[in-house]
Amino acid sequence: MSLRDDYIERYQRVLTPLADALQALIVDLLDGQARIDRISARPKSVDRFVTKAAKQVPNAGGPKYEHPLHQIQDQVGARVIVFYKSDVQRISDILLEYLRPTETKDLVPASEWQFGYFGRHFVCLFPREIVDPSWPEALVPEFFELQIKTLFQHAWSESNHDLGYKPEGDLLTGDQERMLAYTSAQAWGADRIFDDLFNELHQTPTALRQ
Amino acid sequence: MTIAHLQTFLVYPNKNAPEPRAISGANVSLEGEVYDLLEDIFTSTDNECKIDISFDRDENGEALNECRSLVLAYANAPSVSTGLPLAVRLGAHTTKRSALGLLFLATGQFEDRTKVLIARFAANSGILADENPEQLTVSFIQRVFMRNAGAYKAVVYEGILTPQAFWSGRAVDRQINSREVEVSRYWITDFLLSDFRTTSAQGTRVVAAAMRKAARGSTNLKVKNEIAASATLAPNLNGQVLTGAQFLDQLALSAEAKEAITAEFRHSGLANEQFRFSAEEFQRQLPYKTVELDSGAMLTAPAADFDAVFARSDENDAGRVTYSATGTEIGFKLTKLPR
Repeated sequence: MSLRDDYIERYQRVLTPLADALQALIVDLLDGQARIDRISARPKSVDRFVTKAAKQVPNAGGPKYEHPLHQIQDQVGARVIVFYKSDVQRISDILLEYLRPTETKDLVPASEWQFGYFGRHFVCLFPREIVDPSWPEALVPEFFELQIKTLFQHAWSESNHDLGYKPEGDLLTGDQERMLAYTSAQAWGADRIFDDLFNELHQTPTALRQ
Repeated sequence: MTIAHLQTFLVYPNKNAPEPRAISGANVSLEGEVYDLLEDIFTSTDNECKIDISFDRDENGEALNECRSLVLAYANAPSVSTGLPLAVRLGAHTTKRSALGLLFLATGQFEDRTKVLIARFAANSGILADENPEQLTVSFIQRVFMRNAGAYKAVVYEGILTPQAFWSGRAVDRQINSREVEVSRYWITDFLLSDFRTTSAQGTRVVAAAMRKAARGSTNLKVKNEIAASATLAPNLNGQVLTGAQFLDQLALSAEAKEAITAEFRHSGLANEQFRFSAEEFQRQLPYKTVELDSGAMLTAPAADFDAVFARSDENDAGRVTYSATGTEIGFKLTKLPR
């Protein structure tokens, strides 16, 4: 069987029900929490997985993943979209009481002059609770990716993903990159202002607000 | 899967030692009685190593763990020199209380899967009895390393060897519930830089949710009552390391009540997941206890305080009871019934 066939079998037999179970678990863990826009979990599509598995090590040649089925850690991705920046930390703290992360990344640009606005990513081990013991062990991934983002981070990264890569694989022009950078800065600014407003309106005594 | 490489190291208690002793190791022959003993351990890890653990990420959140890096380095090229850093690390976390130990590292391969066993035998002393036709002689011996001693510890990692491998493993630690924090942390927390794969909150949530569903779903009043009563006792187990099954045993529930609860686990394997019980999480999951009377009364109070809030009379001849409560009225509620 080809890698594609192996992944299709995994996708159908395990990843799809596993993503559903993960979504239900996160919904349960965050039950009653305010300012959550949406919670979702889904398996990586077959095409995206195969594309990622074929990646080469830059400048070195050779495949990046020798055993893609065992190395690619975002075969299931879960996402929690919250209203404000302060909510990212609050929701992260709650979820990490129940999940075992092996990695945390705040995806921010390397310097203040670069752009990009992606949010917080975790790589976590699947809790045993949602792994059905009847599934073939060889088909069950060990990790999933969890993203906790604000509405603006989500909106920017989705549009960036859609527009930032030309279908032909060509690079964006300088002007096109500047336009994406501009929207990234705007999303960053909007989050900053909403969060400041939220803190001002909800965390100061009523008398001061009037 | 059989052992393909076997090394041993004499590990001194070097933690806080003014002059740490050098640790040395040797290859062990893949035949003979020592090999047979280790082979037996290597092939029976499924029965023995039952604590699911996983390595911690580093303090910056990166996917880095000092101990895991040593395990991977050893697994990629098993030898005395690649195993020595693990033995030195163990020595650096070994106090005089845990004392001298004999560390074994073993690896094996089956198809594309690699298995690594790390086992520590604690030193003991004993008496050797030698019997021959003329006489029985006894002599005292030191540095006896026994597998079945109370301090035996091991961990096993298995999978396809990649840079992402071996984040989780299975351990045995017969001192995990020691009252001495240093002893209970020695193997999994300090040496392996790991923790239970099932977090305290997650393990507690699973058993508490099963109890809630069982109490709600059971039609047997005795079972409902038992579960509700046990919920008030459970917080006393705070901090103990146990499985869901052991948790129910500790609450001395009847077989019927246990069955009702375990039936509510999503799958039977969850009853054997090891975790540290959290009273805080338990109370978050089961905050209130309610008693319903056939008169229509519903009495609700925080589960842990219910017996202090309500005084209950003994049953009269007709099996009826009286509850009473005293306090200042601070609120009234009308509640909608769920559909």
